[in-house]
Amino acid sequence: MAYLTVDNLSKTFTTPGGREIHALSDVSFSIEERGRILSIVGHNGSGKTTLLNCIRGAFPFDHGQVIINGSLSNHGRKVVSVFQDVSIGVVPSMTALENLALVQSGRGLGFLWSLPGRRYRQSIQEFLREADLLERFETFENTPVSELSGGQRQQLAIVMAMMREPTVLLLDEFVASLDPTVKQEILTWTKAWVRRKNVTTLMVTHDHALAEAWGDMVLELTDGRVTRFAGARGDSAGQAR
Amino acid sequence: MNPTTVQLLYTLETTLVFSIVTIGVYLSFRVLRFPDLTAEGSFGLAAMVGGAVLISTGSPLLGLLASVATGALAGVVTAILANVVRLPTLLASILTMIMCFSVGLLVIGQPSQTLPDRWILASLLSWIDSPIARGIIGAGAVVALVIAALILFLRTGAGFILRARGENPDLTRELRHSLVAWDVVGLAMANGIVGLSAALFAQRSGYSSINMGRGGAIYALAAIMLGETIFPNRTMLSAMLACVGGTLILQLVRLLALNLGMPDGSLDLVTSVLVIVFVYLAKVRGHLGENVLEKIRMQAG
Repeated sequence: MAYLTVDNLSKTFTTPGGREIHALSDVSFSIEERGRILSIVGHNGSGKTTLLNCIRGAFPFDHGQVIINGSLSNHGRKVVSVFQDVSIGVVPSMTALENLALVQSGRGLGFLWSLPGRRYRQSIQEFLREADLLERFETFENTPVSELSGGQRQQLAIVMAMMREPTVLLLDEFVASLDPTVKQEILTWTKAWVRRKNVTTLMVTHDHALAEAWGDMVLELTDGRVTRFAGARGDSAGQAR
Repeated sequence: MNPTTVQLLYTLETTLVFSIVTIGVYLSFRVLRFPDLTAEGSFGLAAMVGGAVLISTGSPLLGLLASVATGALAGVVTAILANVVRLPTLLASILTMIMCFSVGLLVIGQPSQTLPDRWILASLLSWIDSPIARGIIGAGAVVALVIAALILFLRTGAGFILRARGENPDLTRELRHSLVAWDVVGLAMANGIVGLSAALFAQRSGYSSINMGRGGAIYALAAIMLGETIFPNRTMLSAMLACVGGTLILQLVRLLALNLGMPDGSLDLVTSVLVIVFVYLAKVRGHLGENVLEKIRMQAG
Protein backbone atom coordinates (compact mmCIF):
# COMPACT_ATOMS: atom_id res chain seq x y z
CA MET A 1 0.00 0.00 0.00
CA ALA A 2 1.24 3.50 -0.88
CA TYR A 3 2.23 5.78 2.03
CA LEU A 4 0.22 8.74 0.71
CA THR A 5 -2.60 8.44 -1.78
CA VAL A 6 -4.68 11.24 -3.26
CA ASP A 7 -7.61 9.68 -5.06
CA ASN A 8 -9.95 11.53 -7.45
CA LEU A 9 -9.78 14.73 -5.43
CA SER A 10 -12.03 17.55 -6.65
CA LYS A 11 -12.67 20.95 -5.19
CA THR A 12 -14.95 23.65 -6.55
CA PHE A 13 -15.22 27.21 -5.27
CA THR A 14 -18.24 29.39 -5.96
CA THR A 15 -17.61 33.11 -6.44
CA PRO A 16 -19.95 35.69 -4.84
CA GLY A 17 -21.37 36.15 -8.35
CA GLY A 18 -22.35 32.47 -8.46
CA ARG A 19 -19.65 31.35 -10.92
CA GLU A 20 -18.09 27.97 -10.19
CA ILE A 21 -14.32 27.61 -10.29
CA HIS A 22 -12.98 24.06 -10.50
CA ALA A 23 -9.79 24.42 -8.47
CA LEU A 24 -9.06 20.69 -8.54
CA SER A 25 -10.54 18.13 -10.94
CA ASP A 26 -10.08 14.43 -10.21
CA VAL A 27 -6.52 14.78 -8.98
CA SER A 28 -4.97 11.39 -8.28
CA PHE A 29 -1.43 10.41 -7.40
CA SER A 30 0.43 8.39 -4.82
CA ILE A 31 3.74 8.39 -3.00
CA GLU A 32 4.77 4.81 -2.46
CA GLU A 33 7.28 5.12 0.37
CA ARG A 34 7.45 7.22 3.48
CA GLY A 35 10.10 9.93 3.47
CA ARG A 36 9.87 10.85 -0.19
CA ILE A 37 9.82 14.45 -1.38
CA LEU A 38 7.26 15.53 -3.96
CA SER A 39 7.59 18.89 -5.68
CA ILE A 40 4.35 20.38 -6.97
CA VAL A 41 4.66 22.96 -9.75
CA GLY A 42 2.20 24.95 -11.79
CA HIS A 43 1.18 28.47 -12.73
CA ASN A 44 -0.81 30.81 -10.48
CA GLY A 45 -4.31 29.47 -10.03
CA SER A 46 -3.37 25.94 -11.11
CA GLY A 47 -4.59 24.51 -7.78
CA LYS A 48 -1.28 23.88 -5.98
CA THR A 49 -2.19 25.58 -2.70
CA THR A 50 -5.74 24.20 -2.85
CA LEU A 51 -4.26 20.71 -3.12
CA LEU A 52 -2.10 21.27 -0.02
CA ASN A 53 -5.07 22.72 1.87
CA CYS A 54 -7.16 19.67 1.00
CA ILE A 55 -4.38 17.33 2.16
CA ARG A 56 -3.98 19.17 5.47
CA GLY A 57 -7.74 19.15 5.99
CA ALA A 58 -8.08 22.94 6.01
CA PHE A 59 -11.33 22.75 4.06
CA PRO A 60 -13.60 20.01 2.78
CA PHE A 61 -13.37 18.81 -0.80
CA ASP A 62 -16.25 17.88 -3.11
CA HIS A 63 -15.26 14.28 -3.60
CA GLY A 64 -12.28 11.98 -3.52
CA GLN A 65 -10.07 11.01 -0.61
CA VAL A 66 -6.65 11.50 0.89
CA ILE A 67 -5.17 8.44 2.54
CA ILE A 68 -2.02 8.71 4.63
CA ASN A 69 -0.44 5.51 5.91
CA GLY A 70 -3.68 3.64 5.50
CA SER A 71 -6.12 6.08 7.08
CA LEU A 72 -8.06 9.15 5.95
CA SER A 73 -6.09 12.38 6.29
CA ASN A 74 -8.61 14.30 8.37
CA HIS A 75 -8.47 11.83 11.23
CA GLY A 76 -5.78 13.38 13.39
CA ARG A 77 -2.78 12.82 11.14
CA LYS A 78 0.26 14.93 11.90
CA VAL A 79 0.18 16.94 8.71
CA VAL A 80 2.09 20.17 9.33
CA SER A 81 2.39 23.16 7.00
CA VAL A 82 4.85 25.99 6.44
CA PHE A 83 3.63 28.90 4.34
CA GLN A 84 5.28 31.67 2.33
CA ASP A 85 3.64 34.22 4.64
CA VAL A 86 5.76 33.65 7.75
CA SER A 87 3.35 35.52 10.01
CA ILE A 88 0.96 32.55 9.74
CA GLY A 89 3.22 30.20 11.67
CA VAL A 90 4.63 32.40 14.46
CA VAL A 91 3.56 34.71 17.30
CA PRO A 92 5.16 38.11 16.56
CA SER A 93 5.29 39.55 20.10
CA MET A 94 7.07 36.50 21.50
CA THR A 95 10.78 35.77 21.17
CA ALA A 96 12.05 32.98 18.95
CA LEU A 97 12.68 30.81 22.02
CA GLU A 98 9.20 31.49 23.38
CA ASN A 99 7.70 30.49 20.02
CA LEU A 100 9.57 27.20 20.17
CA ALA A 101 8.41 26.78 23.77
CA LEU A 102 4.84 27.35 22.58
CA VAL A 103 5.15 24.24 20.43
CA GLN A 104 6.53 22.31 23.42
CA SER A 105 3.68 23.47 25.66
CA GLY A 106 1.30 21.03 24.02
CA ARG A 107 3.28 18.11 25.46
CA GLY A 108 1.56 17.77 28.79
CA LEU A 109 0.99 19.55 32.08
CA GLY A 110 4.67 19.64 33.01
CA PHE A 111 5.45 21.73 29.94
CA LEU A 112 2.28 23.78 30.40
CA TRP A 113 3.32 25.24 33.73
CA SER A 114 7.11 25.30 33.49
CA LEU A 115 9.09 28.42 32.66
CA PRO A 116 11.32 28.71 29.56
CA GLY A 117 14.43 28.81 31.68
CA ARG A 118 14.04 25.25 32.82
CA ARG A 119 12.69 22.26 31.00
CA TYR A 120 11.89 24.19 27.82
CA ARG A 121 15.35 25.47 27.11
CA GLN A 122 16.88 22.05 27.67
CA SER A 123 14.54 20.15 25.35
CA ILE A 124 14.58 22.90 22.72
CA GLN A 125 18.38 22.95 22.73
CA GLU A 126 18.48 19.18 22.43
CA PHE A 127 16.19 19.38 19.39
CA LEU A 128 18.22 22.17 17.77
CA ARG A 129 21.50 20.37 18.45
CA GLU A 130 20.17 17.20 16.86
CA ALA A 131 18.99 19.19 13.83
CA ASP A 132 22.41 20.89 13.70
CA LEU A 133 20.75 24.29 14.09
CA LEU A 134 21.77 25.26 17.62
CA GLU A 135 24.44 27.83 16.69
CA ARG A 136 22.21 29.38 14.04
CA PHE A 137 19.39 29.90 16.57
CA GLU A 138 21.48 31.06 19.50
CA THR A 139 22.14 34.34 17.68
CA PHE A 140 18.48 35.37 17.75
CA GLU A 141 16.67 33.12 20.23
CA ASN A 142 15.88 35.98 22.64
CA THR A 143 14.82 38.47 19.95
CA PRO A 144 11.08 39.17 19.50
CA VAL A 145 9.86 37.71 16.22
CA SER A 146 8.65 41.15 15.13
CA GLU A 147 12.31 42.26 15.07
CA LEU A 148 13.65 39.27 13.12
CA SER A 149 14.52 39.34 9.42
CA GLY A 150 12.27 37.51 6.96
CA GLY A 151 14.82 34.70 6.68
CA GLN A 152 15.12 34.28 10.44
CA ARG A 153 11.33 34.23 10.81
CA GLN A 154 11.01 31.58 8.14
CA GLN A 155 13.74 29.48 9.78
CA LEU A 156 11.80 29.75 13.03
CA ALA A 157 8.53 28.74 11.34
CA ILE A 158 10.23 25.69 9.79
CA VAL A 159 11.79 24.61 13.09
CA MET A 160 8.41 25.05 14.82
CA ALA A 161 6.94 22.77 12.18
CA MET A 162 9.77 20.25 12.67
CA MET A 163 9.27 20.21 16.45
CA ARG A 164 5.69 19.07 15.92
CA GLU A 165 7.13 15.79 14.59
CA PRO A 166 5.09 15.71 11.38
CA THR A 167 4.47 12.54 9.43
CA VAL A 168 3.75 14.69 6.38
CA LEU A 169 5.31 18.14 5.89
CA LEU A 170 3.65 20.59 3.48
CA LEU A 171 5.80 23.48 2.27
CA ASP A 172 3.88 26.14 0.35
CA GLU A 173 6.28 28.46 -1.52
CA PHE A 174 8.18 28.50 1.77
CA VAL A 175 11.37 30.09 0.46
CA ALA A 176 9.87 32.17 -2.36
CA SER A 177 10.35 35.56 -0.72
CA LEU A 178 13.90 35.02 0.61
CA ASP A 179 17.21 36.16 -0.80
CA PRO A 180 19.19 33.47 -2.69
CA THR A 181 21.80 32.81 0.03
CA VAL A 182 19.32 32.37 2.86
CA LYS A 183 17.04 30.41 0.53
CA GLN A 184 19.81 27.94 -0.31
CA GLU A 185 20.79 27.51 3.34
CA ILE A 186 17.20 26.82 4.38
CA LEU A 187 16.64 24.41 1.52
CA THR A 188 19.80 22.52 2.44
CA TRP A 189 19.14 22.01 6.14
CA THR A 190 15.42 21.41 5.68
CA LYS A 191 16.14 18.64 3.20
CA ALA A 192 18.81 17.16 5.49
CA TRP A 193 16.31 17.03 8.36
CA VAL A 194 13.51 15.63 6.21
CA ARG A 195 15.84 12.88 5.01
CA ARG A 196 17.15 12.11 8.50
CA LYS A 197 13.65 11.92 10.01
CA ASN A 198 12.13 10.18 6.99
CA VAL A 199 9.32 12.73 6.72
CA THR A 200 7.15 12.62 3.58
CA THR A 201 7.26 16.13 2.15
CA LEU A 202 5.19 17.98 -0.43
CA MET A 203 6.66 21.27 -1.63
CA VAL A 204 4.77 23.76 -3.77
CA THR A 205 6.91 26.04 -5.94
CA HIS A 206 6.81 28.10 -9.11
CA ASP A 207 10.46 27.31 -9.75
CA HIS A 208 10.76 24.29 -12.04
CA ALA A 209 14.53 24.03 -11.56
CA LEU A 210 14.12 23.97 -7.77
CA ALA A 211 11.31 21.42 -8.09
CA GLU A 212 13.54 19.08 -10.08
CA ALA A 213 16.58 19.57 -7.85
CA TRP A 214 14.81 19.31 -4.48
CA GLY A 215 12.15 16.69 -5.03
CA ASP A 216 12.31 12.96 -5.64
CA MET A 217 9.25 13.40 -7.84
CA VAL A 218 7.60 16.30 -9.60
CA LEU A 219 3.87 16.74 -10.08
CA GLU A 220 2.66 19.44 -12.43
CA LEU A 221 -0.81 20.92 -12.15
CA THR A 222 -2.55 22.83 -14.93
CA ASP A 223 -6.01 24.26 -14.32
CA GLY A 224 -6.61 21.85 -11.46
CA ARG A 225 -5.56 18.71 -13.34
CA VAL A 226 -2.41 16.62 -13.12
CA THR A 227 -0.55 17.11 -16.38
CA ARG A 228 2.73 15.50 -15.39
CA PHE A 229 3.98 13.21 -12.65
CA ALA A 230 7.53 12.09 -13.02
CA GLY A 231 10.43 10.99 -10.92
CA ALA A 232 13.04 13.70 -10.75
CA ARG A 233 16.40 12.46 -11.93
CA GLY A 234 14.84 9.14 -12.92
CA ASP A 235 13.31 8.40 -9.49
CA SER A 236 10.01 6.54 -9.66
CA ALA A 237 8.82 6.23 -6.07
CA GLY A 238 5.32 7.38 -6.90
CA GLN A 239 2.82 7.52 -9.68
CA ALA A 240 -0.03 9.49 -11.19
CA ARG A 241 -3.16 7.43 -11.01
CA MET B 1 -0.47 67.75 55.86
CA ASN B 2 -1.96 70.40 53.59
CA PRO B 3 -5.21 69.58 51.72
CA THR B 4 -3.52 69.39 48.30
CA THR B 5 -1.03 66.78 49.54
CA VAL B 6 -3.86 64.78 51.08
CA GLN B 7 -5.80 64.97 47.80
CA LEU B 8 -2.75 63.82 45.86
CA LEU B 9 -2.11 60.91 48.21
CA TYR B 10 -5.74 59.77 48.00
CA THR B 11 -5.55 60.07 44.22
CA LEU B 12 -2.45 57.87 44.27
CA GLU B 13 -4.23 55.30 46.42
CA THR B 14 -7.28 55.32 44.12
CA THR B 15 -4.99 55.03 41.10
CA LEU B 16 -3.27 51.97 42.50
CA VAL B 17 -6.54 50.21 43.33
CA PHE B 18 -8.12 51.09 40.00
CA SER B 19 -5.01 50.25 37.96
CA ILE B 20 -5.73 46.61 38.86
CA VAL B 21 -8.91 46.93 36.73
CA THR B 22 -6.81 48.46 33.94
CA ILE B 23 -4.43 45.49 34.08
CA GLY B 24 -7.39 43.07 33.93
CA VAL B 25 -8.85 44.89 30.93
CA TYR B 26 -5.35 44.94 29.35
CA LEU B 27 -5.26 41.15 29.64
CA SER B 28 -8.54 40.72 27.75
CA PHE B 29 -8.11 43.54 25.21
CA ARG B 30 -4.42 43.37 24.45
CA VAL B 31 -3.21 39.87 25.32
CA LEU B 32 -6.31 37.82 24.52
CA ARG B 33 -7.44 40.44 21.95
CA PHE B 34 -11.02 39.97 23.07
CA PRO B 35 -13.11 43.18 23.13
CA ASP B 36 -14.53 42.56 26.59
CA LEU B 37 -16.77 45.04 28.38
CA THR B 38 -17.78 42.53 31.06
CA ALA B 39 -15.88 44.59 33.64
CA GLU B 40 -18.63 47.24 33.45
CA GLY B 41 -20.93 44.80 35.24
CA SER B 42 -18.56 42.26 36.82
CA PHE B 43 -16.95 45.00 38.95
CA GLY B 44 -20.25 45.93 40.64
CA LEU B 45 -21.42 42.32 40.96
CA ALA B 46 -18.09 41.24 42.45
CA ALA B 47 -18.23 44.16 44.90
CA MET B 48 -21.77 43.21 45.95
CA VAL B 49 -21.13 39.47 46.33
CA GLY B 50 -17.81 40.04 48.12
CA GLY B 51 -19.54 42.62 50.34
CA ALA B 52 -22.33 40.18 51.21
CA VAL B 53 -19.75 37.53 52.14
CA LEU B 54 -17.88 40.09 54.27
CA ILE B 55 -21.10 41.02 56.06
CA SER B 56 -22.11 37.41 56.72
CA THR B 57 -18.69 36.01 57.68
CA GLY B 58 -16.87 39.09 58.94
CA SER B 59 -13.80 37.95 56.98
CA PRO B 60 -12.35 40.47 54.51
CA LEU B 61 -10.23 37.69 52.98
CA LEU B 62 -13.29 35.53 52.26
CA GLY B 63 -15.04 38.61 50.88
CA LEU B 64 -12.08 39.28 48.61
CA LEU B 65 -11.94 35.67 47.41
CA ALA B 66 -15.70 35.75 46.71
CA SER B 67 -15.25 38.91 44.63
CA VAL B 68 -12.43 37.34 42.62
CA ALA B 69 -14.50 34.18 42.02
CA THR B 70 -17.56 36.24 41.00
CA GLY B 71 -15.53 38.29 38.53
CA ALA B 72 -13.96 35.13 37.10
CA LEU B 73 -17.40 33.52 36.72
CA ALA B 74 -18.67 36.56 34.80
CA GLY B 75 -15.66 36.18 32.47
CA VAL B 76 -16.48 32.50 31.94
CA VAL B 77 -20.07 33.42 31.00
CA THR B 78 -18.81 35.91 28.39
CA ALA B 79 -16.42 33.29 26.95
CA ILE B 80 -19.23 30.73 26.73
CA LEU B 81 -21.64 33.20 25.11
CA ALA B 82 -19.00 34.13 22.53
CA ASN B 83 -17.74 30.63 21.79
CA VAL B 84 -20.57 28.19 22.48
CA VAL B 85 -23.63 30.35 21.69
CA ARG B 86 -21.42 32.05 19.07
CA LEU B 87 -22.52 35.60 19.77
CA PRO B 88 -20.27 38.39 18.48
CA THR B 89 -17.63 38.93 21.17
CA LEU B 90 -18.59 42.51 22.01
CA LEU B 91 -22.28 41.61 22.24
CA ALA B 92 -21.46 38.62 24.47
CA SER B 93 -19.63 40.87 26.93
CA ILE B 94 -22.38 43.52 26.86
CA LEU B 95 -25.03 40.88 27.60
CA THR B 96 -22.97 39.52 30.51
CA MET B 97 -22.56 43.08 31.77
CA ILE B 98 -26.33 43.63 31.73
CA MET B 99 -26.91 40.25 33.37
CA CYS B 100 -24.44 41.16 36.12
CA PHE B 101 -26.61 44.16 37.10
CA SER B 102 -29.77 42.01 37.30
CA VAL B 103 -28.06 39.10 39.05
CA GLY B 104 -26.59 41.48 41.61
CA LEU B 105 -30.01 42.95 42.39
CA LEU B 106 -31.68 39.53 42.50
CA VAL B 107 -29.05 37.85 44.68
CA ILE B 108 -28.36 40.67 47.11
CA GLY B 109 -31.88 42.13 47.01
CA GLN B 110 -30.75 45.75 47.08
CA PRO B 111 -28.67 48.00 44.79
CA SER B 112 -26.12 48.88 47.47
CA GLN B 113 -25.05 47.85 50.95
CA THR B 114 -23.00 49.29 53.78
CA LEU B 115 -19.99 47.17 54.74
CA PRO B 116 -18.30 46.77 58.12
CA ASP B 117 -15.06 48.74 58.46
CA ARG B 118 -12.73 45.87 57.61
CA TRP B 119 -10.44 46.73 54.74
CA ILE B 120 -8.18 43.75 54.18
CA LEU B 121 -5.13 45.96 53.57
CA ALA B 122 -5.76 47.83 56.83
CA SER B 123 -5.85 44.50 58.70
CA LEU B 124 -2.66 43.23 57.04
CA LEU B 125 -0.73 46.48 57.53
CA SER B 126 -2.05 47.43 60.97
CA TRP B 127 1.53 48.22 62.09
CA ILE B 128 1.51 51.31 59.87
CA ASP B 129 -0.09 54.20 61.77
CA SER B 130 -1.15 56.46 58.92
CA PRO B 131 -4.28 55.12 57.13
CA ILE B 132 -3.30 56.78 53.86
CA ALA B 133 0.25 55.36 53.98
CA ARG B 134 -1.28 51.97 54.77
CA GLY B 135 -3.57 52.27 51.75
CA ILE B 136 -0.82 53.35 49.35
CA ILE B 137 1.71 50.76 50.50
CA GLY B 138 -0.91 47.99 50.59
CA ALA B 139 -2.46 48.81 47.21
CA GLY B 140 1.03 49.26 45.72
CA ALA B 141 2.02 45.82 46.99
CA VAL B 142 -1.13 44.27 45.51
CA VAL B 143 -0.46 45.94 42.13
CA ALA B 144 3.15 44.69 42.22
CA LEU B 145 1.97 41.17 43.09
CA VAL B 146 -0.64 41.15 40.30
CA ILE B 147 1.93 42.38 37.74
CA ALA B 148 4.58 39.89 38.92
CA ALA B 149 2.12 36.96 38.91
CA LEU B 150 0.81 37.87 35.45
CA ILE B 151 4.26 38.28 33.93
CA LEU B 152 5.35 34.98 35.44
CA PHE B 153 2.21 33.28 34.15
CA LEU B 154 2.58 34.75 30.67
CA ARG B 155 6.07 33.21 30.50
CA THR B 156 4.84 29.68 31.23
CA GLY B 157 3.64 27.30 28.56
CA ALA B 158 0.04 28.16 29.46
CA GLY B 159 0.85 31.85 29.15
CA PHE B 160 2.40 31.31 25.71
CA ILE B 161 -0.77 29.56 24.54
CA LEU B 162 -2.90 32.41 25.89
CA ARG B 163 -0.76 34.96 24.04
CA ALA B 164 -0.84 32.85 20.87
CA ARG B 165 -4.62 32.55 21.16
CA GLY B 166 -4.82 36.33 21.04
CA GLU B 167 -2.23 37.00 18.36
CA ASN B 168 -2.45 33.98 16.11
CA PRO B 169 -5.60 31.89 16.62
CA ASP B 170 -4.92 29.88 13.45
CA LEU B 171 -1.56 28.72 14.81
CA THR B 172 -3.15 27.96 18.19
CA ARG B 173 -5.73 25.78 16.46
CA GLU B 174 -3.01 24.12 14.38
CA LEU B 175 -1.19 23.26 17.61
CA ARG B 176 -4.42 21.54 18.71
CA HIS B 177 -5.23 23.88 21.58
CA SER B 178 -8.90 24.67 22.17
CA LEU B 179 -9.65 28.32 21.44
CA VAL B 180 -12.76 28.07 23.63
CA ALA B 181 -10.82 26.74 26.62
CA TRP B 182 -8.22 29.48 26.38
CA ASP B 183 -10.88 32.17 26.01
CA VAL B 184 -12.44 30.80 29.20
CA VAL B 185 -9.06 30.85 30.99
CA GLY B 186 -8.17 34.34 29.76
CA LEU B 187 -11.50 36.01 30.47
CA ALA B 188 -11.81 34.30 33.86
CA MET B 189 -8.36 35.64 34.77
CA ALA B 190 -9.08 39.13 33.43
CA ASN B 191 -12.40 39.47 35.24
CA GLY B 192 -11.04 37.75 38.35
CA ILE B 193 -8.48 40.56 38.48
CA VAL B 194 -11.31 43.07 38.05
CA GLY B 195 -13.08 41.33 40.95
CA LEU B 196 -9.97 41.74 43.09
CA SER B 197 -9.99 45.48 42.46
CA ALA B 198 -13.74 45.61 43.19
CA ALA B 199 -13.19 43.95 46.58
CA LEU B 200 -10.43 46.42 47.52
CA PHE B 201 -12.58 49.35 46.36
CA ALA B 202 -15.66 48.22 48.25
CA GLN B 203 -13.84 47.35 51.48
CA ARG B 204 -11.95 50.65 51.38
CA SER B 205 -15.11 52.68 50.68
CA GLY B 206 -17.18 50.88 53.34
CA TYR B 207 -19.99 50.20 50.91
CA SER B 208 -20.66 48.30 47.73
CA SER B 209 -23.03 49.14 44.91
CA ILE B 210 -24.11 47.26 41.81
CA ASN B 211 -23.46 50.45 39.84
CA MET B 212 -19.95 51.11 41.13
CA GLY B 213 -18.31 49.62 38.03
CA ARG B 214 -20.30 51.58 35.44
CA GLY B 215 -17.88 53.24 33.04
CA GLY B 216 -15.01 51.24 34.54
CA ALA B 217 -14.09 49.16 31.48
CA ILE B 218 -14.19 52.21 29.20
CA TYR B 219 -12.16 54.17 31.73
CA ALA B 220 -9.63 51.33 31.93
CA LEU B 221 -9.44 51.15 28.15
CA ALA B 222 -8.80 54.89 28.03
CA ALA B 223 -6.03 54.41 30.62
CA ILE B 224 -4.47 51.63 28.52
CA MET B 225 -4.46 53.77 25.37
CA LEU B 226 -3.14 56.77 27.24
CA GLY B 227 -0.42 54.63 28.85
CA GLU B 228 0.59 53.12 25.51
CA THR B 229 0.72 56.58 23.93
CA ILE B 230 2.78 58.27 26.61
CA PHE B 231 4.96 55.31 27.64
CA PRO B 232 5.68 53.31 24.46
CA ASN B 233 6.45 49.80 25.60
CA ARG B 234 8.32 46.81 24.30
CA THR B 235 8.07 44.36 27.18
CA MET B 236 5.21 42.91 29.15
CA LEU B 237 6.46 44.68 32.29
CA SER B 238 6.60 48.09 30.63
CA ALA B 239 3.13 47.51 29.15
CA MET B 240 1.68 46.84 32.60
CA LEU B 241 3.51 49.76 34.17
CA ALA B 242 2.05 51.88 31.35
CA CYS B 243 -1.41 50.70 32.50
CA VAL B 244 -0.65 52.11 35.96
CA GLY B 245 0.80 55.29 34.40
CA GLY B 246 -2.26 55.80 32.19
CA THR B 247 -4.59 55.34 35.16
CA LEU B 248 -2.57 57.83 37.20
CA ILE B 249 -2.73 60.49 34.48
CA LEU B 250 -6.50 60.10 34.15
CA GLN B 251 -6.93 60.38 37.91
CA LEU B 252 -4.69 63.47 38.09
CA VAL B 253 -6.60 65.14 35.27
CA ARG B 254 -9.89 64.47 37.05
CA LEU B 255 -8.43 65.89 40.26
CA LEU B 256 -7.21 68.96 38.40
CA ALA B 257 -10.61 69.44 36.76
CA LEU B 258 -12.34 69.23 40.15
CA ASN B 259 -9.90 71.72 41.67
CA LEU B 260 -10.54 74.09 38.77
CA GLY B 261 -14.18 74.07 39.81
CA MET B 262 -15.52 72.02 36.93
CA PRO B 263 -18.80 70.27 37.76
CA ASP B 264 -18.63 66.59 38.73
CA GLY B 265 -20.71 65.62 35.69
CA SER B 266 -18.12 67.03 33.27
CA LEU B 267 -15.30 64.70 34.37
CA ASP B 268 -16.13 61.96 31.86
CA LEU B 269 -16.12 64.56 29.09
CA VAL B 270 -12.70 65.82 30.23
CA THR B 271 -11.37 62.25 30.34
CA SER B 272 -12.68 61.48 26.85
CA VAL B 273 -11.26 64.68 25.34
CA LEU B 274 -7.89 63.96 26.93
CA VAL B 275 -7.75 60.45 25.47
CA ILE B 276 -8.78 61.72 22.02
CA VAL B 277 -6.07 64.41 22.08
CA PHE B 278 -3.31 62.05 23.23
CA VAL B 279 -4.16 59.27 20.81
CA TYR B 280 -4.39 61.79 17.96
CA LEU B 281 -1.04 63.33 18.90
CA ALA B 282 0.53 59.87 19.00
CA LYS B 283 -0.74 59.15 15.49
CA VAL B 284 0.56 62.47 14.20
CA ARG B 285 3.91 61.75 15.85
CA GLY B 286 3.90 58.28 14.26
CA HIS B 287 3.23 59.70 10.80
CA LEU B 288 5.93 62.33 11.24
CA GLY B 289 8.33 59.61 12.36
CA GLU B 290 7.49 57.49 9.32
CA ASN B 291 8.02 60.44 6.99
CA VAL B 292 11.42 61.17 8.50
CA LEU B 293 12.40 57.51 8.26
CA GLU B 294 11.27 57.41 4.64
CA LYS B 295 13.45 60.44 3.84
CA ILE B 296 16.44 58.78 5.52
CA ARG B 297 15.83 55.58 3.55
CA MET B 298 15.63 57.54 0.29
CA GLN B 299 18.82 59.42 1.07
CA ALA B 300 20.55 56.15 1.94
CA GLY B 301 19.66 54.99 -1.52
